[in-house]
Amino acid sequence: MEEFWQQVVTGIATGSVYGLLALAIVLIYRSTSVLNFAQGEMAMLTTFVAWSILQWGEYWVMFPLVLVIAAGMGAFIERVIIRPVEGAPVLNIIIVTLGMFAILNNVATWRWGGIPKGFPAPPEIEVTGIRFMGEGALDIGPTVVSYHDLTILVFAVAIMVALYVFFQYTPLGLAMRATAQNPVASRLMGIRVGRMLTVGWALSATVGAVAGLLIAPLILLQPPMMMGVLLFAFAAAVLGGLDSPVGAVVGGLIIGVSENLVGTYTPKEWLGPDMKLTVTLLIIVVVLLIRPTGIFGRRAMRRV
Amino acid sequence: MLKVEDIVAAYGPIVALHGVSLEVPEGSIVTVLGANGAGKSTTLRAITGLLRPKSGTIEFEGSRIDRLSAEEIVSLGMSHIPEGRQLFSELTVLENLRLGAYSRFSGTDGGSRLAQREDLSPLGRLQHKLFHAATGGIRDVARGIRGYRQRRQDFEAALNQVFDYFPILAERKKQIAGTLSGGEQQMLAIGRGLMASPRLLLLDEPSMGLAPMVTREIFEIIRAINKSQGVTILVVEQNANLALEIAHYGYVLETGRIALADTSENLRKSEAVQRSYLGQ
Amino acid sequence: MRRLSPPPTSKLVIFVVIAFFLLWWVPFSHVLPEGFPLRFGTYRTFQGSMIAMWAIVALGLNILTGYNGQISLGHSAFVAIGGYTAAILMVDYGWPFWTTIIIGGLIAGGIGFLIGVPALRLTGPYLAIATLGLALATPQILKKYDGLTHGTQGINVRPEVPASPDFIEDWFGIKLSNDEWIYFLALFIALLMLVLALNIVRSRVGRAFVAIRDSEIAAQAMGISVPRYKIIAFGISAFYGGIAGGTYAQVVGYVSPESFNFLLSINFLTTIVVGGLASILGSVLGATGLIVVPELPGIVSFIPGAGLPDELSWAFYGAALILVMIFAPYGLAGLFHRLVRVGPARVAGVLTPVQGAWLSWRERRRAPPASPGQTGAGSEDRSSGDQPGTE
Ligand SMILES: Nc1ncnc2c1ncn2[C@@H]1O[C@H](COP(=O)(O)OP(=O)(O)O)[C@@H](O)[C@H]1O
Ligand SMILES: [Mg+2]
Repeated sequence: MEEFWQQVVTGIATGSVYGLLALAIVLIYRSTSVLNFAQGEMAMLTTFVAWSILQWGEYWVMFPLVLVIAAGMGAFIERVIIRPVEGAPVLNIIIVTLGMFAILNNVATWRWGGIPKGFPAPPEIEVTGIRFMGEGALDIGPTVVSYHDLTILVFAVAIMVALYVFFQYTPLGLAMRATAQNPVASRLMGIRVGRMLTVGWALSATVGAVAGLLIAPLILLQPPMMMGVLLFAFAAAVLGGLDSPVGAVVGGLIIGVSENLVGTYTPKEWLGPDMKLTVTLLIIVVVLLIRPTGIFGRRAMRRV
Repeated sequence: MLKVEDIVAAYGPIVALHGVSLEVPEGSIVTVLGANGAGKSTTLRAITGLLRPKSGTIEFEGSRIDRLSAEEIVSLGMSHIPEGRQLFSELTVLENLRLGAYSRFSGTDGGSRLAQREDLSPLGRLQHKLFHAATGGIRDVARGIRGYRQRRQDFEAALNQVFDYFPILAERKKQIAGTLSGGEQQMLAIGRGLMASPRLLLLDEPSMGLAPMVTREIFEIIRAINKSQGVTILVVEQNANLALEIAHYGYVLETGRIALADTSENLRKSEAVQRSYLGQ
Repeated sequence: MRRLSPPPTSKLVIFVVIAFFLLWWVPFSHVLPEGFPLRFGTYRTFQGSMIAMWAIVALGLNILTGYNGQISLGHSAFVAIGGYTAAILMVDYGWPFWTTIIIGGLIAGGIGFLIGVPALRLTGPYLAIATLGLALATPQILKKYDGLTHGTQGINVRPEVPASPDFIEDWFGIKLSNDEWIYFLALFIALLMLVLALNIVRSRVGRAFVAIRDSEIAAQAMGISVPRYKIIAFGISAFYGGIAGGTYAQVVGYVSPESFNFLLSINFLTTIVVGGLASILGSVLGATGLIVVPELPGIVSFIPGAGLPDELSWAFYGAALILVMIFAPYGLAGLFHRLVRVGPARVAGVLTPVQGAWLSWRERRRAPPASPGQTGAGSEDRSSGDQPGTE
């Protein structure tokens, strides 16, 4: 039983990271119907930037700085690379994101080298006697949880709540939702549609950057580090429903946990840890066959 | 208040307007009649900047607006209620209304840009654009904070006014817009347009797809909006009967050209209009 | 979307000339000095064979994605099935190579049919990611069930790959090396598949595919059985993948689980979009581009002083992808057609591809909807105020 909870808890932690990156993917998909294949590489690059900043600065100085840089990068990419193909068929834009994937990955290797680097977890903070983050583990009865796993979970939940509040209660958030639904009517409301897309990319890059900063301590910092995460994030986003931010995070959690459980509890002979990816993907496909637009996704509206 | 002069507009190679001119005096209701495909919607699109006219001029309250973008034009005090309503159908009624007031809260400031942009050389325009991009964000935030309470009050006042005209919307505040009935959706579309407290309201076929009873009700409200608030109205219609009933002036558009222009009284008496548009 | 008129004869002629050139260039290119870019050494010959193999997959994927509108990121799986079937039958059972290619194609096609059934429920990105799952699972499955697949170590097919038969030397008086023989073999298979593809897309079936892509409801109203044709498209497409896999086994002489990872699938999709969706010519051009472009920094470095740092070659490739998508939204085939339309005289010499790209770019900036058949989405609503050059 302890093993079970252990698997669940670590699954929740990695699942939160998948969920965060999935959230980043969903933010872009909702407004432009584009699957951003460069999402993981954007996060990887900002994590490398973070690493460079950490060579001379504190973690908590670096953190906001990196988020701002990420937002700037997202906005820049939208304005300079995505804007020229806006309105092109979706597959074309997907290929553009694949091109960005190659560029970002190559630039990171060129600038920082391919050798894996250690990356620190957020350092310990104590607020009114309660300890947050840092090294070590916390005993929670059935099992122990590492502080970093807890940190990841807290960040994921906090970001989700923040985004919910942003989209639900601020004029800008509302305008972004409106733009995603009906760009022409949005313009008639005085909304600058182009600017909303830029903000969407900036936001998405920022959320992705957090995912990168949180996963790097677990998997080492190196150019291909986000590739596997990206694939799981895609799966999570699709599982939850590509237009649902909540679905993205829930999808990530489901995948993180089921991946661990499949690895531990299926027969080693013909499934087991070697096949956990395959079985997890199979589960996702089965769910999709029952709900073709994901668990929380809206039914596809057919246009004639 | 609005003066359209000799505008030509096209969709790619398809020319939809071949030099349309019309005028909307302040405080009046003006209607543009015409058959399907005559270019009525195109005229409105050109006025609000959704479609940039190839040539001709458009003046709103004395200043040229034909080079401004739709977003800028809206914040000058003009609301366009498009054909087919174009609601945000997955958002609630209240959210739709909030979006109608977006131009109050956002920094889009057509007036100031208008003043600065006129007669600029291309290079000057580019400089202006860069400058605006850099300073715009900061200024928006500052304005947003300073004027927040005032804007909030204006918003509440506009909302109450819309609910006065359309009590049903107050009841359905939380309902998803796409699930409203056709008449309610048209009311929401008009209400959303009113949320910006426009001085000029452009309506594109408000009667489209509605039962005669509902249509009549909506036209009564349009008349009331004009009377009690002094909002100038340009309404495009195929339903000539009702439109001429509430309008002061009317234009008849035929394949992208103005065929007739007169007071609605005279138009109603005109033989051509009776034959083609009043079915008599 | 696109018009589907058969290419006029002039284009076919150009096509045939290029094909003929490729066909005969390989043996004769030995006369050129070492290191010259058009000299086909062993490596360039191998690349030629890879282009042929790649073109086969692209043709199949284009039938599914370009003509029928179903996005697949799982075609590496079908290629793996074809490749492994051929390798296993050749190495473990000693079958002649050509039968193994056909059987590999048929098995992959059969599995494609089966996968086409659940794929009916999924559309767009959901289908893309579900099929990506297939591509991800393939290497794992190949590693796990090693009784059949020889596991991680892969299968060495090299000893079984056919050598150049004697009649070639008798008839043409040229002694082909093994690589050159395989090159002709791959080219031959590719041409067969190309002719087949041309016939498919111009047949009733092909028109049904397109009708479904453009509107399933309208297709249904015309009496087309939507599920049936969507499954057929999947099957045909997978068959192409299987044939390509069998060809791959001959060309590379070795199959292993990592030969067929998901990146391959992504590259296949890239191939057809860059080449041109719903275009046979595009499939071939895309395959050529995708094999050659990553090597371009090396080729360019032949010209003194024009080299790119080698470690940035992948970034160069990425930039090339983006530029093609911006300047040639209908892919290389679209560019080609445009150049041909501009006039054969200018194509011949005056108008370089770069100029063509520049012209098309200017055209796009100036008049949003260039012509009804050209622009995809309605561009009327696109230009917003803060976009430069809308006036
Ligand atoms: N998006 C468009 N693309 C091309 N042509 C259009 C478009 N919208 C309208 N048109 C054409 O422009 C002309 C005028 O249309 P419109 O202004 O919508 O007419 P009305 O509103 O009077 O029915 C018609 O011939 C119509 O076919
Ligand atoms: Mg109309």
